Amino acid sequence: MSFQSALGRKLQRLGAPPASGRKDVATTPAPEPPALAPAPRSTPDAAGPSPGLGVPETTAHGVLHVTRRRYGPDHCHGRVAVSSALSARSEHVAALALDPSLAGLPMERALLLDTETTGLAGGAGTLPFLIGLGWFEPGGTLELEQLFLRRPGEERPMLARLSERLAAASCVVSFNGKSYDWPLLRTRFVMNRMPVPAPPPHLDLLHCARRVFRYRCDSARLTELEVAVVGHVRHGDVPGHLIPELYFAYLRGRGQGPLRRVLDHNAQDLAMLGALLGHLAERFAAPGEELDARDALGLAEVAFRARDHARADAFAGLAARAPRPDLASAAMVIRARVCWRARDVAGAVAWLERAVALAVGPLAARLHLALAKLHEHRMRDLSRALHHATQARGAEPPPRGVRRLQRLKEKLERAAAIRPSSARPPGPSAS
Amino acid sequence: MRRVEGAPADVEGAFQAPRTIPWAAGPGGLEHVLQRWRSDRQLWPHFALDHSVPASAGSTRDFPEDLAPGVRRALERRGIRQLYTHQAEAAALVRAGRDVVVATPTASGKSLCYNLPVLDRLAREPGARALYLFPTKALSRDQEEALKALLRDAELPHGAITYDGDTPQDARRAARDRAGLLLTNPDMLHSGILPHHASWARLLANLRYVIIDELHTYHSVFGSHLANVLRRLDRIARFHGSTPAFVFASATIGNPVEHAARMLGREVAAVLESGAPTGEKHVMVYNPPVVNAELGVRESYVKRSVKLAADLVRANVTTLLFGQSRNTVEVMLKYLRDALVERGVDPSVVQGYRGGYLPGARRDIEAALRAGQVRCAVATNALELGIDIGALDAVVCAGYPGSIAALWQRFGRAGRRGHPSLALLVCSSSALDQYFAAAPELLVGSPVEQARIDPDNAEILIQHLKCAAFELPFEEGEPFRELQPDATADALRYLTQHEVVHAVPGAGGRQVFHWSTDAYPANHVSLRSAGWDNVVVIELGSDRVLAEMDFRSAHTMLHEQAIYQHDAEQYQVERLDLPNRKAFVRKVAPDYFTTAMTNVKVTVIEEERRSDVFDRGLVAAGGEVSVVEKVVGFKKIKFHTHENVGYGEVALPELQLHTTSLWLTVPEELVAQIGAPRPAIIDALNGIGNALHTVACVGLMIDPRDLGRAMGSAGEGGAPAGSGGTLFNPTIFLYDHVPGGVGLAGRLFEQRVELLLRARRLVENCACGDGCPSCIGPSPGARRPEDGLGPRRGFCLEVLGHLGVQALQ
Repeated sequence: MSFQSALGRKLQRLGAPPASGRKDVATTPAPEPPALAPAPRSTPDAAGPSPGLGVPETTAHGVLHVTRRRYGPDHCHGRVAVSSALSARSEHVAALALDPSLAGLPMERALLLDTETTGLAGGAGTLPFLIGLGWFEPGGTLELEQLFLRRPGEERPMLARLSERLAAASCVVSFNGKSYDWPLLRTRFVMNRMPVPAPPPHLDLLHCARRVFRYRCDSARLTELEVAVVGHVRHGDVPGHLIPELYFAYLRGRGQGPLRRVLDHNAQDLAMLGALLGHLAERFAAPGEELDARDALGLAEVAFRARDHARADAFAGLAARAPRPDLASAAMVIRARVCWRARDVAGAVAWLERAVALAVGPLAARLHLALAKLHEHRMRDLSRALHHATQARGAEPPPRGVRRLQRLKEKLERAAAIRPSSARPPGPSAS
Repeated sequence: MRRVEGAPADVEGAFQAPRTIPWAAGPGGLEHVLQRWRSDRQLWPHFALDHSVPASAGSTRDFPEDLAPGVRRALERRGIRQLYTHQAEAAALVRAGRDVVVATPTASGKSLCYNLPVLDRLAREPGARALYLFPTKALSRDQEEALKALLRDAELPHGAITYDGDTPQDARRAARDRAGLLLTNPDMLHSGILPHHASWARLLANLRYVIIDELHTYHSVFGSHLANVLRRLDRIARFHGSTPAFVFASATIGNPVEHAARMLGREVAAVLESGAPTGEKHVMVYNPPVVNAELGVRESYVKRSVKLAADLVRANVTTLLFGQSRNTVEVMLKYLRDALVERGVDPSVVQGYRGGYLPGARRDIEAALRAGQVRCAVATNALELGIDIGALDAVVCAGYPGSIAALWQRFGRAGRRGHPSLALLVCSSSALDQYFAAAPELLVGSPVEQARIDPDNAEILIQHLKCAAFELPFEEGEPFRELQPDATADALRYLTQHEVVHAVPGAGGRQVFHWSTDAYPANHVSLRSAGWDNVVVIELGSDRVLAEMDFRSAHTMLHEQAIYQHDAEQYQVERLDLPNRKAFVRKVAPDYFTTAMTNVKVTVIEEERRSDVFDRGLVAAGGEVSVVEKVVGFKKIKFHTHENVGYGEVALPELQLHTTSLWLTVPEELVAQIGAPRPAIIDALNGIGNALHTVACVGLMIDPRDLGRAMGSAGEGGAPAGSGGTLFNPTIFLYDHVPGGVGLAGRLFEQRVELLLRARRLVENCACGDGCPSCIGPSPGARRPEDGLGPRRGFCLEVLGHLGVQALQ
């Protein structure tokens, strides 16, 4: 390689590019693709052995490289049948997602979407080189279509196919797709000067799962949920952070073998989307005794926020049995709020009294304050109100708290001053 | 802007809070202080210059006839019924579609030059968009307020939104989708907007104007980076179908037109004559008296500046006191407060203001200055830029800020319309200061410095080519704005070699270079330094973050045992954790502060040009060098007396710099011909290097901080200066103090003869005996009188004679 310009000669002396953030440079021998153990699949793949990097399909926009796989109606991802997603009722899905636009959509026309990309940073230079799509056939079979970018610059047929699938779908189901996959895909349409398709309603299971499993799972990473929630363990999976390097190694002619495993990884992610959706909807549909109290609390909160108060109360009842007092207390607060919404003030007060007995710290102070207000203004029980107000320190700014205590004490004194004259007979000394 | 009677007397915008403390009037004012100085027989003889710049009336023109009525009304509501001539000219050029640079003095109403045509365009073309770049976040916030008020009054529905690191998420979306005027800084354009340009399609597709204010601040590395960011912007705007016009506004610099053209890569129309009226300005220079004639040591300029500033503050004159470094600012703040307390003045009327202060604290000080609650700010150049602190009566510069342009930017801070103002320079004993103390009329009459950038600096260019490839694949044969296709192709091949981009055959058989790593390149490129992160200063015990400092300065200011000064308090550095960019300090009350001692070693990497000078054997050459700087120790300097009270050792890793240099080599045969002890010759050459550095900075108008100087050897194994080792073929290096260089060394090489002759004249004309900082530098104490060579300065002239550098006839 020769450099013609003065700049080129200067660069030659410069050596490796400065501050590139790259892990390797060409002065060292090109790295072998990371050696990975052969992939034993944990679940039998209905499509048989791993396919290549796609079968060419000629489209109006150019050649597309497609890998198709099918998961039959009985195929399980861990403990959960992938096809259980089909039984999800859209109003439950809408509640789980806190997104009313999802209600009434035919879930059998949902499009599962997951991409593999050349980097996590996003921006115009990050390519989704694999777009994984999935949908259910009438018999309950999950049909996967994985679109592979054979090399940069050939995105148009892939994006055109995505546009078609989106147009036919009732909604998109993804994991973190709202803030990651979709903005990236949107960018690709702009970069290729193609009209950005108007996306159908988007069900992002990351947010649903984070809300439901927040008391059980520390992170809402897909692989953690996969183990903890649907009971699926991947063997020989490609670690996500290696995926960009594998693609670049493939581009530079260092073998496509490891990339096949990226396709498998993507297929597993898509299967997990179906299983997670099915599992969430199933749990939401039927509050059952077997439910983990921590999940029950998460579900109760979601149902309450979705204004499904009866369901919230049922889940909160299950969650109130939690061994951790803070969770039980939180569940009782939800029951109190359900009562309050039903204008059952006495019920709300009763649940709050039980909740406050278990609560500690700032939550306890806030509950005491709520009880002080309810007792003062609704229950007209000034001594209970004063009892709670004295323990509500820190729940409101000091001047207001001081005024509240002052007022309650005055009210109590006034009541005490009135009561003896009317209710009690005058003492003997008065005569 | 001509104002009608009774209109608010502030600059356009009218958003700042009114002044709460009335201006001083009567005998306490500026005139009174000047009278006292002039009649003080101890003081007055040391004033080297008392020059008065008369008030000027200014000249105006009517609004353009077809100015959008809403815009006209908005200006009239501000009391503006006519434009200054420079505003009218700029508006006409911008409206005609030209790229324009406006370079007029501080406070001449530059922002209207670009706001007027931008608003006028918005009124005619509601879909139009404009992008404003300011060098600091604070300036964007300032301008956002002013623009919002202007848009509202012009009844334009467009928003003006600042987009920077502090913009909350929701506002970011609004900025992307709705902002008519987007205000940001080069760093954010570089790392936040361009790499995500698809999200900014609406702005970029309708981009009509790009406004770049404070153009003079974009010189050297930062400027070379910005030129490349603009190359990227040009590419991306084209991709989205727009070709915006550029408007640059600059404080007075020597080459605004050339600088703007280099920045933009094409010709730019110029507006250079201000039509704004100005009040009378007293320009004065004070040169502290010599207290040790042999050593050329003068009374402390820092202490004298504080005394003069205290006179002004006590007389209720609002004053800005500029210091050279963070260190001097803190020292002066402490002294000034002490001086005021002695006289029974509340010390809180004086506040410090410098880069390390946290943004909230700075905003409070700015507001207090505008309101008049703070009478004096002690500042570094953080206040040089157009931060709105209202008008002031006096500016005192403690020490020459390195360039005439910077001096006048500071001086420009003083002056309320219709009131006399004071601009005072107090000279230090350094070479440049004394040069101007001897010829103070140069400060008033001579041209100011030029801003220099080198957009083709290989290291900078390559970083931005990476960012550009990330933003949009390059096609074979594509230029990078004015960088020719063959050079661009070479750079892309280089990136391909290093597997940063990947070439793929595209349409028509041409190669297309796609970004091909998982990195986000903009995150690895910092526009403001050579890519080093800041070091955070943490107070031990409280774990409070006191300040941040750039990596390079941290070596000299945050080494272990250094006294770090912040807000007039002293802290000692207990631990410097360079890998984690942290310095841990503890508050102490020492009676001294510290200054670092640095060793420099220069090695030639490639000689690109070479020439004999004066036919005696002296050789001038130019090319690429590697500079290694190492902090080897520090001095303890006692407060107030400034005695040297001790030394300490420092163990820090070296800092390496690849740059361009001019070097002058004295071959061994020539050394032998001089016939004097070797150490004396090396000392003389060192002195010649000192003089060359001074004349290079003055003559070519270079900021001394941008030009490094060292002694070494030609060829392999040069010994570091001052190490005492033998130098083979002793060599004087003058190098660009910037990675990759910005072209200073090349200009020095071209003017090598002139440079040497001027150096000789400087040494000849100095009034000192044995060498002083103004000529060949003070004696290092290495020579004894009995060597029979006479005074150092005379011997230095003798050596120059041997080199063939003769006195001018």
